[in-house]
Formats: sequence, structure tokens, C-alpha cells
Amino acid sequence: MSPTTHPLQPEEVMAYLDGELQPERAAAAAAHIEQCAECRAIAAGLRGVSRQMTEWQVAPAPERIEEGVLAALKQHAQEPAKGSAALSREKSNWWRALRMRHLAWGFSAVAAMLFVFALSIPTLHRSRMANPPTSTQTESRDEVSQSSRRQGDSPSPNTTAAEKEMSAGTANRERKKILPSQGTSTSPMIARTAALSIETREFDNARAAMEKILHDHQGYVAQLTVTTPPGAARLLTVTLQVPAGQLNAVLAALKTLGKVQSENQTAEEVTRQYVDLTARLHNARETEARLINVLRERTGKVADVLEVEQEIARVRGEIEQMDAQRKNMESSVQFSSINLRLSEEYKAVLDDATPSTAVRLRNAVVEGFLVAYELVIGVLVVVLSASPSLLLCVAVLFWPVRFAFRKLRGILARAA
Amino acid sequence: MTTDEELILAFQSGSGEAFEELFRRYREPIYGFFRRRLQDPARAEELAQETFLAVLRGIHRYEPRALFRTYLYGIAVKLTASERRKAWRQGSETKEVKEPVDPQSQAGPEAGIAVRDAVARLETMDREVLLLREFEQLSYEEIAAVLRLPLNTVRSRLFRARMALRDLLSAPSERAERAQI
Repeated sequence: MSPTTHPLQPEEVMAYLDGELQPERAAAAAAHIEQCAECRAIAAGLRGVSRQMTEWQVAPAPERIEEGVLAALKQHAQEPAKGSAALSREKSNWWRALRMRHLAWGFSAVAAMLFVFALSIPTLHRSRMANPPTSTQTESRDEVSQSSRRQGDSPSPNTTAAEKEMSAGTANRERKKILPSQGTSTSPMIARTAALSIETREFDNARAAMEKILHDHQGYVAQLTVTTPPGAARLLTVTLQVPAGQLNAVLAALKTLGKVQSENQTAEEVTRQYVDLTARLHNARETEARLINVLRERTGKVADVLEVEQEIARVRGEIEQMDAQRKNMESSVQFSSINLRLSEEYKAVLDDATPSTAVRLRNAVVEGFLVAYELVIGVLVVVLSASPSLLLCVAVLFWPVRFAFRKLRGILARAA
Repeated sequence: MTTDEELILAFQSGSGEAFEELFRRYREPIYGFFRRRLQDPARAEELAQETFLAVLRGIHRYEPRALFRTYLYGIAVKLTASERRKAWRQGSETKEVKEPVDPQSQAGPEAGIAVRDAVARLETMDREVLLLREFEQLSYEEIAAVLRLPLNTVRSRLFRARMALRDLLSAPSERAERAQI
């Protein structure tokens, strides 16, 4: 049945029979149904259904319903005030339900906030606890790096190639050869020191050349350190002692070893200090001679003798101290000190350290296990750290939530 | 004859007789409403009573915007839904007419077992629309208001329910003939 052949839909036939059509439409429908056999069949079917349904009868309502309802009515009539009270109670119930619903939501929100807060307490606590150590960690890391730098400068077991040479013995011998010529010289005494920083491409050659220069100019090595850190340039730090007259020649020769990065020279005149020291030494020696004479020529009490001997010992101590100072001064004048820093021009080497596939797979497996282990530990830590707070929350919130839930359920059930 | 709406307004003004009249008018239809939807006659009786008590309690809330019977059947539909939910929650078998019925309880005037069984086989909402139309005699608009459905949905569901019921109730031979047509 299509709308083109039938101006009436089947549902409209039904609506017509039910009296649900507009009067004009109903008249058209009546006219159509009278003519259309199909629509008549539908109408007949619908009527038949309605007729058959009337067969489904139920027993009359028991009298008890009436009794109950009329009793309630009587009560209602007798207590109009109560009726209004009931109204207000109902209203208040309704409001209470609404309020309870809001209350329940609010309560849930507060509970959720409390929960989040409780969860965050350990985290905050941890972060607060963790912050200071983090800073100290960086500091200590700095210290470590500083110390490692220091270690890099100084000889240490960590440096792959570190040498330390002290050749003071030879130096003393060489010094004795030079000293007599300048024993009591009155010419200005100047202690010269120089610092030189050189970068070289040929580190090994440069070192050999340095030793040759030193040998040629009768100098010696006071201290020498070579560091060869992996993946970085080698570094030679050496303190050279060369005869004062040779200083310029040695510096000039050293500069040929590579590119000079920095140079520093200082000269300190020590003439006055030397003269003073020589005079005081002379006086001390005379005092010592006089005391020896006193001891030798004079006789007296044992106490006096002991006192003189003590004085002689004191003066001798002073003489030796001053003598050492004078020798040191002469040495610094005779021998100039050069602090040489010889660094290798760094050439980065392509590190072809790509591990093999097997090693990479093995590492991946190991790392995977480690990550899984860390994950498990992390989860355990989170669970263990959160569980006291959770238990506390549950303990605090269980009864109020249960009470609110029951209240709400009761209200909703009543409302339904 | 005084309309339902006039009676309920009179009852709102304090006339107990008005309510009695309303009760007399709707006692049987409301009991029938529940009796056709629930298997347990005692429960049907309780719910019928509860419907009137709900009207009594909520009389101050009633506003004459809708027909009284729409209001009344609205309460009845809600009570039925609540009863079904309760039965579902309790896990017990719903005591609706769609369940196998004890023949003794259906004896006597409660005939039309075939009709009842056929109705029970309809889809829930179709069945509700059909029952409200056939037994409660509600108009399409009232059914739409009570069940909160669009008017066109009510019409199409009603038509579908009636056609299905016609097929279910017709003899197999008739069904074959209809199929040929």
C-alpha cells in the first residue's frame, strides 16, 4: 500500500477508528475506507483486535481497597492541619531530598578533595624531603667534578699516564758548579719566574724537545705531571729550574715547541733581603764565636755554664735557619723557575664503539628487566606510600558516606 | 455530570465527597490497570490503594493543567515501574502477566487467556501503549503525556502492537491467507 495509490496511511485508518483524526480528515478517511477494500480489511482487523481484547476481563476490585482509601480520606479530612503539615512535610521531604542530593554531591567532592590531598601529602613530604638532598647532590657533584679536575692536574692513580720526576739530587750537583762565581756578589739579586702555556700538535716530540732544551741549558725538572684522560687532549705540567742567565734562551727555545697560549714573567728583587740576611748571619756567627770563647776562657758555676751552652744552641739554630734561607734565596736567584703547561691540540677520534647486534640485544633484555623491576618497585612504593592515607580516608569517610548513601537511597525510594 | 477536574478542585477545597466520587469512578479501572500488569492480585490491590493514597497525599500539589486521569494513570504507571524495578532488584521473577500464570488464579471471569498471553508477547512499551488505549481508554495525547513519548511514536507503536496482536490472535489459516495478500 503506497501513498500514491492510497491517500490514507494504515495508521490513519487506525486513528480514524480511534476517533483521533481531525473532523475533515475523518470524513475523507471514512469515504476512502468505504471504497477501499484493503483499508476496510485493515479496519476490520483493528476492530477485531479491540473486540478480542475485551475478552480479557479482570475480577472486580476488592472492597478492601475502598476501606483503606476511605479510612485515609477520613483521616485526611479530620486533620486538615496535619494535611498541610503533611504537605509541608512532603515539600520539606522533597527539599530535603534535593538538599541531600546536593549534600551528597558536595560530600563526594569534599571526600574526593580530601582523598587527593591525602594522596598528595606523602608526595609533598617526599618532595620537601628530597629537595635539600638534591641541592647538596649538585654541590657534591660539583665538588666531585672539581676534585676530578684537581686530580687531573695532579698526579693520581686515575690518570692513565702520570709521571712525577724529582731530580733534586742532580740539581744540587749542578747548582754547586755555578754557585761559587756569585757567592757574595753585590750586584742586584733578582729572582725570576716565568709561566708558559703552549699547545702543540706533536705532543711526544714536543716533550722530547723540551727535555733536550733543558739539558742543553743545564736546567732540571722540579716537578712533572702528564695526564692522558680518555677522549681528551694530553696535558704536561712541568716546573723547570734553569740557570737565571739561561732563562730567556730557554723560554725562546720552549716557544718553538708549539703555539704559545699564554706567557707570564715575574721578577722580584731580593738584594736587600739578602744583604740583611747576610748581616744577621754574620752577627749570629760572631755571637756564637764569643759565646764559645766565654765557655772556653771563663769558669763559673755549673748553672752559668749550662746557660751559656743553651744560648750557644739557640744561636746555632738561628744561624742554620738563616743559612738555609740565604741558600734558598741564592737558589731562586741563580735558578729561575718556569711553569710550563704543554697541552696537546685535541683531535677528536671517531669512536667506532657501536656494539654488536648480540650485545645490543643482550643490553636491551637486561635494560628491559631493569625497567620492569623498577616499575614493580615503583608501583609497590606508590601503593605502600599511599595505603596509610587511603586507609585513613576510608576509616574517616566510611561511616558518613554510608550514612549519606542510605539516607539518599531511602529518600529516593520514598520519592519513587 | 461533574468532570474529574471539577471534583479534584472541589476536593482541594476540602470536599471529601468529591474525592469519594473520584474514587468510585476510578476504583475499577485502576485495579484493572494493575491486575492486567501484575500477576499477584494482592499486590495489584495494594498498588491500586497506594495510587489513591498518593492522590490524597499529593492533593496540594495537583495543578489543573492536565486531565485528572492523565495525572492518575501517571501515578499508576510510576508505581508499576517502581514495582518492576523492585522485583528486578530483588532478583525474583517479575510478577507480570507475561509470566506463566497459575490457571486457577485466572479462572472465572478473568478469561481471555489467549489475549493475555498474546499481549504478554509484545514489546514492553508497545504493550503499555496498547493497554492504555484499549483498557484505560486514554487518547493518543494522554498516552503520550503519561508515558512521556512523542505523539507520533504513540501512534506508530499502537499500530504496530495491534497488528502484531492481530497476527498472534488470528488462526494459522487466516495468517497464511493474510500472508498471501
